[in-house]
Amino acid sequence: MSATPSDPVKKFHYRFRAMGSPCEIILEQECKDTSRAVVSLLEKEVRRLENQYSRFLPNSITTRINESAGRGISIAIDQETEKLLDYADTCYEQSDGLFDITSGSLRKIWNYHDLEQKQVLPDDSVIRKELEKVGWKKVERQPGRICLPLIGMEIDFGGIVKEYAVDCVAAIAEARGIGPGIVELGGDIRMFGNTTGESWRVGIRDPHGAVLSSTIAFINVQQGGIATSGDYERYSLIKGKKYSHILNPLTGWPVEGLSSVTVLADQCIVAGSAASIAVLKGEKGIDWIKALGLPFLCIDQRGRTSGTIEQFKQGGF
Amino acid sequence: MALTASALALPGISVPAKADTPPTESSIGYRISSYKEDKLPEKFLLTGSPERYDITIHQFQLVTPVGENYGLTLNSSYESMSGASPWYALRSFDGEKSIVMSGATIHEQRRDYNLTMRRYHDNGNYAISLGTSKENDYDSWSGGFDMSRNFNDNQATLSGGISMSNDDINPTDAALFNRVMDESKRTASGFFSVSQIINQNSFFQSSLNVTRHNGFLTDPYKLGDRRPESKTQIAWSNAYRRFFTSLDAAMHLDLRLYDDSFGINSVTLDASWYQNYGDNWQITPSIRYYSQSAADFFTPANDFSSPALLNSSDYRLAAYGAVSGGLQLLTRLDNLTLTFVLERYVTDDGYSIYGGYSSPALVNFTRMSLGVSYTF
Amino acid sequence: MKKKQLLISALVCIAPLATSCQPVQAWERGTLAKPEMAIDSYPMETILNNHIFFSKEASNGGHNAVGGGCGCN
Repeated sequence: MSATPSDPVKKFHYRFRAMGSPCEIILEQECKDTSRAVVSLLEKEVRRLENQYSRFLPNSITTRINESAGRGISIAIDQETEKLLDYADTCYEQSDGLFDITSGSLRKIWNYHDLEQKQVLPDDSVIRKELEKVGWKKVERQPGRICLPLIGMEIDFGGIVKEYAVDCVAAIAEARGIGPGIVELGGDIRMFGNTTGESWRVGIRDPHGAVLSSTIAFINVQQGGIATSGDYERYSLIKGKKYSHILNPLTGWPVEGLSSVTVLADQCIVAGSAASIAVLKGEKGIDWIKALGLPFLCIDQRGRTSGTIEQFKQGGF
Repeated sequence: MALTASALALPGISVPAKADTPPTESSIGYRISSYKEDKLPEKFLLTGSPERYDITIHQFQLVTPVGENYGLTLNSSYESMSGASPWYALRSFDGEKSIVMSGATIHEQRRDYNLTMRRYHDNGNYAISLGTSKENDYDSWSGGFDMSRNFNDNQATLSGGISMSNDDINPTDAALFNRVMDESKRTASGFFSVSQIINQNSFFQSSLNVTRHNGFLTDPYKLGDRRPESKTQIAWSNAYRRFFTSLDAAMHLDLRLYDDSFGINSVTLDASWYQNYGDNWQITPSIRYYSQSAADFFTPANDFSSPALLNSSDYRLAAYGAVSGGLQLLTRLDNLTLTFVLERYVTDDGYSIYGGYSSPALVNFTRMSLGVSYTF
Repeated sequence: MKKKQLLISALVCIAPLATSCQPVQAWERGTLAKPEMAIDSYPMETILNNHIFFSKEASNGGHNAVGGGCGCN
């Protein structure tokens, strides 16, 4: 993202790396030392969530839950984790099973680098076998507890915790009267503290892109959250066909859908899930996102943009 | 929408409305204030010096977070006063020359210290406070506890607390002037408060504060002054705060109604307008109206009944009204905040909405304050 | 984008005076947290005023319990 409020001169920029992505907090506050104290507080919140939910960290609740899979034991979870699982459940229902936080294990079959090199597709029987371990409905939940009954089952909060962290940071900032400002964690954005109604111009770029990747579009936003999903021009060419890197958890195969979806919502987590579901819905994605009613922008496989957000194609700052 | 409803249930997304969290940074503040009471008009002066009090006050404050959940506040002040005050007031025969001022000009100092330790949690906060005030003739110790709880998704807050204090009074030159020696006064006070958010730009708060004093309540420096040995008072305060986004300004409106067992009723009205200019400047004009009725036993000294009954000619128990206007200028520079305040306070029995005995010894004053605070 | 009617209707306003309390969402609360919107925006000024008026007037009390006394009244 590159978000620029009206006067770029007196902003305080703080960049760091968390959750595997470049992160940035921009504040419209002069006082460097106050701003520094404030952003370190906000960064602490991001790290707290990363430590809690990253599947790569040994002490996270995610790792503890995944390591218990198939051992017939249930893990005690706190209220926040419980509510995040409830949220994942809502996403599952709203997407007719396409948004599924147990689908992460499928990535073991789809090693795109390998497959592209060897120009082979995974075996259908291998996919079907792995699918036995996938399925949100297979997860056993009781109040305050969760159990993964099959060996090899795993849950991954990666699809919601980054957007959730963005909302948490914004909520903390607003409760303390900090702002106006913007928080971005790897393409998931949220404005906070904007009481003057001034617009920020935000550049949407490829969510998986490096810092120098091209900007897809510019939009004007006053408040709320923005999230982008999709593979945008990233695919693997195997045996003459393009395969996206987003997998359908019901079939085990890559989706063929929108290349990029950007959604605006009051909460970044809602924007993020809506964008993800729109991509997962494949051919029906564009109808689904239109029916949802949130402002959106999307790019299809042929590079055509459409959507309800007014955007500025070129120019910018 | 289902996703939104589910998202709103997430704990991180809903946080307290007003920063019900410990301070993020520490700050220290210093303020110096000086005010001078106007001279007593010559036409009222029977005998003594017309010069009244000249007071300088130094204030210090430290606010700091302690660990993750606590905040500590220290307040201290040093006050030095010199001047004279009315000893007694007579009912004059020609409507003039009726105030007898105290003989010598006094020079006195007062020091006070207050400490509050507050614990913050998800639903509110609570605190313990301790304080002391010391003068050469008056020592006070106080302690209190208060708590606050948020309700209704943090739209409303209920708070309450109690405070107790114990004061020791040892008037100067007691033997010389036949004053009392070694008296004491005990105070117990409680409050209950309701605060409600109206919308994203405004809220109001209503509080009831009941206080009971027991012990020596008389002013030993005023002739023939004899007041009850207990006093109960109740104050009902209401505050409205509203922010005007397009003007970048906040309005404060406050109304307090007061009643006590001395027979005094009062009304206090405050209005302030905090006008911001960018992020670094703020100018705040304010006005205040105050009016009180006279105490049941307020009379001119020549009408004092036998020593056994209650009386006082202290102007502060008379019926009168006071109007004051002030202007605060505030500027921020990096971590520093500078404030300058100018205030003018005038009293007149004509401003009063209450009838009853008044006093020619009503006081007017002008105050200036200069403050600096630093955040670190 | 503000369609939270479902959740809003369940909340109840406490105060009779505020006839149209609109629940304020967490992301809308920035204004209320500004220092000039506090009950007591400048505590040192308030402490000073309370002390001066205590020494010159017969009333005291407010949104807190009254603290210790002094010889000025």
